[in-house]
Amino acid sequence: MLQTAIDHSQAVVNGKVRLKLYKGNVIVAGRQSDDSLFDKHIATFEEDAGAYNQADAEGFIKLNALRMRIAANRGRSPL
Amino acid sequence: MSDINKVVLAYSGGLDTSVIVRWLQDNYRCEVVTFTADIGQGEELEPARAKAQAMGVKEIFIDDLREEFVRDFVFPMFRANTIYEGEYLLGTSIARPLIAKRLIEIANQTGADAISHGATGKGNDQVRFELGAYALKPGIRVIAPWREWELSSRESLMAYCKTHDIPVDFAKAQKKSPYSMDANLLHISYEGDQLENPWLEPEEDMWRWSVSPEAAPDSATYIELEFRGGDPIAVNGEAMSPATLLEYLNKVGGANGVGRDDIVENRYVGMKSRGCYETPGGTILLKAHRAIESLTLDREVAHLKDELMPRYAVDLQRLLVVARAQDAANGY
Repeated sequence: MLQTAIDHSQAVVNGKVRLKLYKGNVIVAGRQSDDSLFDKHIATFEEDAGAYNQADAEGFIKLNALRMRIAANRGRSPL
Repeated sequence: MSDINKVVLAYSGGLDTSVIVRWLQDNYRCEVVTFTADIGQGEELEPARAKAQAMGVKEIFIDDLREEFVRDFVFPMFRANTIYEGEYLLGTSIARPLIAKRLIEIANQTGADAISHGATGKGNDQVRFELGAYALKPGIRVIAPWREWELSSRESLMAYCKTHDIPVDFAKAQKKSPYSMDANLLHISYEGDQLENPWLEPEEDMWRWSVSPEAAPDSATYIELEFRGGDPIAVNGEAMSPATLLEYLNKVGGANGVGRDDIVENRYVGMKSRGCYETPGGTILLKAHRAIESLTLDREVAHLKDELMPRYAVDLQRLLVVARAQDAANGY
């Protein structure tokens, strides 16, 4: 059952990894995949041309914090 | 001793299981069928045939299971990024269901009513062999000589060979490493002797597959590993069969001092045991597989896999082997 679930997840696990072997260490030096979910337009530290709206993060954080604020207002630790 | 007619023995050709062949013949008065598997332990198999023949064994099975072992057992385990107790890559555990499966197939083929193995009564391997066997053939009988006989030391085994006409290369047997070892394409393990003191660092000449990090080359070696469906299929652009690929990774990893581990682990039977392992190819594979997953898996799927993994590892270390053996037998 577990194996079936794990195998199901692997359909997209395709691509290449470049590794550096050095004195007992295995260090990943690069990876690429046609099935990659990494999007540099979104993740970039440079100008992203609207790919990610930083203002959206405010509401995301506020709603995530809602239950903590309610608990804190009652003098309880939310964590 | 009982009404067993024919028993299939997992036979390495080494001292212990050679004694078992004769012991079964003498004590159970039954016919012994030997089964020797090549799962990449790096020993020649033909001497096992000659020894079995010399002891009057008529049905001798010698199988090259290297590709099946890596393709159907090792790679599926690495899809789960399996590590037991944070350290162990389960190199011994994963080989057992395949052996159990073949033992039962051979029992069916030869009309044997029992199987036998050389695993001791203290370890996990007896559990793995026997759970697998009972799951595949509920009525099978199991003979585990280590749980029955009085032979408790290497000397007593050697003495038994002398008095029972068992062909052993005594010169070779005496030069043997002091450690209890197990090897296959995924790893080589060492237990016992000086390792029974968890404070002592193993002697450098214990390690057989890897150079020490200090002795490794001063310049790095780069390799490129390609994955398809979670399994590695090529190294440096060259397509390789599962066993060939793992063998290659063992070689290049070992040459760079990769894959040594020294751990104290919890055995299923209850005790803690200290073991040293060399798993060069597996260590590379785990890192590489995680790197591809990091790029391609959805966050929640990746996290779920990480939550399931420790359970998968424990199951593999003890019980799930049954399911793996069954799946393999069913052709899944």
